[in-house]
Amino acid sequence: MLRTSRVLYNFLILVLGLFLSKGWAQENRPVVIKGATILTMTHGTIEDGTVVIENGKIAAVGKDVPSPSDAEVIDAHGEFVLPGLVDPHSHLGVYSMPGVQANSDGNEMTGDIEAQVRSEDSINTDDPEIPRAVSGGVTTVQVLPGSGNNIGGWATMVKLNGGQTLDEIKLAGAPLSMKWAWGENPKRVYGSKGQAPSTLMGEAAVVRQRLYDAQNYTAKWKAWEDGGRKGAPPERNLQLEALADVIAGKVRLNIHSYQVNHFETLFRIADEFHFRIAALHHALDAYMIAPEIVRRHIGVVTFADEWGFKVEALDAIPQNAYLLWKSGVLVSLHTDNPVIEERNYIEQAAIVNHYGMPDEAALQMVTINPAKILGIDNRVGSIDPGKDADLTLWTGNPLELTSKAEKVFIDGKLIYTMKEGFLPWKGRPAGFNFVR
Amino acid sequence: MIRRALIITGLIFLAALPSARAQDTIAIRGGKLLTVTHGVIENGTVLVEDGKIKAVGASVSIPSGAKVIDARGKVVMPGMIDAGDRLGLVEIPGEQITNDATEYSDPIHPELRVLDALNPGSELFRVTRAQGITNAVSTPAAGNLIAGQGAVIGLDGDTVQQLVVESPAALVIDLGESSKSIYAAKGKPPQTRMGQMAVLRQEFLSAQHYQAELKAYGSKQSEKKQETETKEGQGAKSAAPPAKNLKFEALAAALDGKLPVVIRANRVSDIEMALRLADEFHLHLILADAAAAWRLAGQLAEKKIPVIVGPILQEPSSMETLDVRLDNAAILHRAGVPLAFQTESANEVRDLPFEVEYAIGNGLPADVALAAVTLNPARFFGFDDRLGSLDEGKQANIVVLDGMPFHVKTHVLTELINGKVMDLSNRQTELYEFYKKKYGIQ
Repeated sequence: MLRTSRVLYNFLILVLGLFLSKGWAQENRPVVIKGATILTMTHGTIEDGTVVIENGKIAAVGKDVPSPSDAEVIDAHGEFVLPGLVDPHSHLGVYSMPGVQANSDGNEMTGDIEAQVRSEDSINTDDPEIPRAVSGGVTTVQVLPGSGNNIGGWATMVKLNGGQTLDEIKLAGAPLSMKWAWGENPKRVYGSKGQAPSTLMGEAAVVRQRLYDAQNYTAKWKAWEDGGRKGAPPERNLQLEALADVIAGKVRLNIHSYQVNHFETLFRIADEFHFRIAALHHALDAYMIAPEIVRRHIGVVTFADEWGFKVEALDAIPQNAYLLWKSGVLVSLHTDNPVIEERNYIEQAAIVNHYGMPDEAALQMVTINPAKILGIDNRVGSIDPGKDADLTLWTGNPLELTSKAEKVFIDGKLIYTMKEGFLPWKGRPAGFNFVR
Repeated sequence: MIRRALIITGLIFLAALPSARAQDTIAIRGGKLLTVTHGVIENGTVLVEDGKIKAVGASVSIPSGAKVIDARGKVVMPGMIDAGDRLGLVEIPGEQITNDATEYSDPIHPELRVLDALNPGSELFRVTRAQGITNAVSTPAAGNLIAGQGAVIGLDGDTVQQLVVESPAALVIDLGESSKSIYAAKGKPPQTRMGQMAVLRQEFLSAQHYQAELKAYGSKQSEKKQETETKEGQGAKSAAPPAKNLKFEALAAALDGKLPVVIRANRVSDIEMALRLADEFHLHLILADAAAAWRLAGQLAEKKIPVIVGPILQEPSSMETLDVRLDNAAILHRAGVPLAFQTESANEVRDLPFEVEYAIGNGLPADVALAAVTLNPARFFGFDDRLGSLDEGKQANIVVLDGMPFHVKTHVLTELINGKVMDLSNRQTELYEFYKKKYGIQ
């Protein structure tokens, strides 16, 4: 009796094992994209090339690459393969679609310094913009708090893989990244309440004082630790802890700023406290001080063409990106979603292309350059072996506005087809969750 | 290469500018002519005289002394027309002091005229026309239920008078979220869509009554005149005429069918409300914004309602625009609805060609798209006798391109407005040139 059940048990295990291994194999079956024009972003364009996807990563790319025998082959002749777009500045999920009051979670405008808030606590993983964004070939997004505060809070980098929870979409291991903002917005928000800051002078004074507070806070903790941790520890302060991280150089700073006087104030503060600025965001007048930005190794994340909507945008020119790029600045584009809809990110590259940017450089500004600026270029932004298989098959040259994303892969998984839409949400009731 | 050609062309015309007066004769020779009304003419010539198109065709003789613009290998088309925007009304959207697009004092403002706010000194005209847009239907922005009267303008002129092509061009009404959110905060009607329709019907009925009073007064006057003539010498006491009411005057013009009525409505119920209003008062309706128009395509086609769609890249950012889709224009066209495009912007009007390209990419035939930014808006607002195509007798608003229109890689080489060669430079091109030179960039 015992023997019989053991045999049966072993048999069941065997069957189960076979079943599992078959399932496993299917899940991990390599995918080969053949015949497409491959826009690698790091080593040129490969005509009639092949990309091999294995275990969620890019296994190989080239003109003549052997395909694994068990691979699923996609014939992509006539199509273009581009890395999934990387948007370094978006409010996806924190200003969820539609823009009703209930969805306004991007600006904690109750105090000008909000270093303690984290955008991940606002992100709506059901933002209907997510499937729309993927239909435009966008796969990785840095979600930032808004620009109503001089210090807006922590950024979150996510992949638009359709995950239900933040854990599923959050880019694990991404560097610490924070949003600051300079110029008209914070001084308007607080000036209109009769509070500081109401001028650019005020913005600098408020931020500098708080950075000194953070230095004192660090010193207090150090004293307690140096003193052998005797007595009660100092009270923890989330805001000052965050700013102490900035001063310690642990945080990549993304700073919304437009005019030269904004940039210069920020440079002065960065020099005073010895920290680095990762990138100036929007930065419509950055072209005016291109050499200084090069000297400081600061990236620029800018609009293709967002001239004239307010005074600090009056000197914007659609060749801002071009002049910076020619000067040697690492330049990225962005959507500032919902300012420009996430779905339409590729149009930013098309517009700079219209105003003179060469094709490849324009596309780099929505792929590898933002990945570098975010410090995640080891993972995304180009078609190189070892990187995450975040790829989009475009029906034509992605810079043509008539081209469409036909298939989108994230981590090697097909998550969107033009025919079937956003696969992870397939069959969900329509409501706001649609792709048209 | 294109960039260089652009600059060289620009320089040539800069140099030629002082002599390029409207009365000059200009021949645009050898181009691919997109006439809009009578197809494509390869290797054709457009002759311009006294600001107007004198001749269009493959064998047009060029008078001696004419200024010749070589358009061989180039594309020639009528200037683009944005069928709804804020040009001339808004300089910097973020600065209220420069913004004359919405009169927030009351939801009912049919008497307001865009004409009285247009600013010929706006830098936006120069920036916008550099992308091939020569005309716009400038309308008040959303915010009120009855927004006011729009004007058709050309993007060149030193005075308001020179800018204006047609004023008033249409009465503008906004249904849906905008006025109800603003006046709810002020505790005034309309706070609901029911309220909007009730207010509108009452206003039009009152305007009808005003019309009737005017008519009655008019016939009484003529009776009296006859009486006076027969009983000569006995001065008849004349009753006072009805007090002139500018609001009712404007509504009366719409009731008489003299003034088209643009109704901006997005969701299905708002579009249906627009149709009910137009039916009840026999209005000459032009539907605009129209995010969900594709859902009513058949009905709109049957009623022959012209529709102004856009911006094409509009996102479902509000509750009333949830139904918007990229192929809205294509679906409407397939149903037989006449179309035009609008940007509903001021500083982004120049991106109109890219919007059109998106509509094409989503199924709108290219020739239909071309008509939708040229001839159709001119027809909708009744100025197609003057603009919208390359035809003899029309105003010479013409664009020469280095490729087919709307493509990202296509650029404007030369542009004429009223027969005058435009200077395509603006503050932005000047800043670009300055810093390019400063950095030694080619």
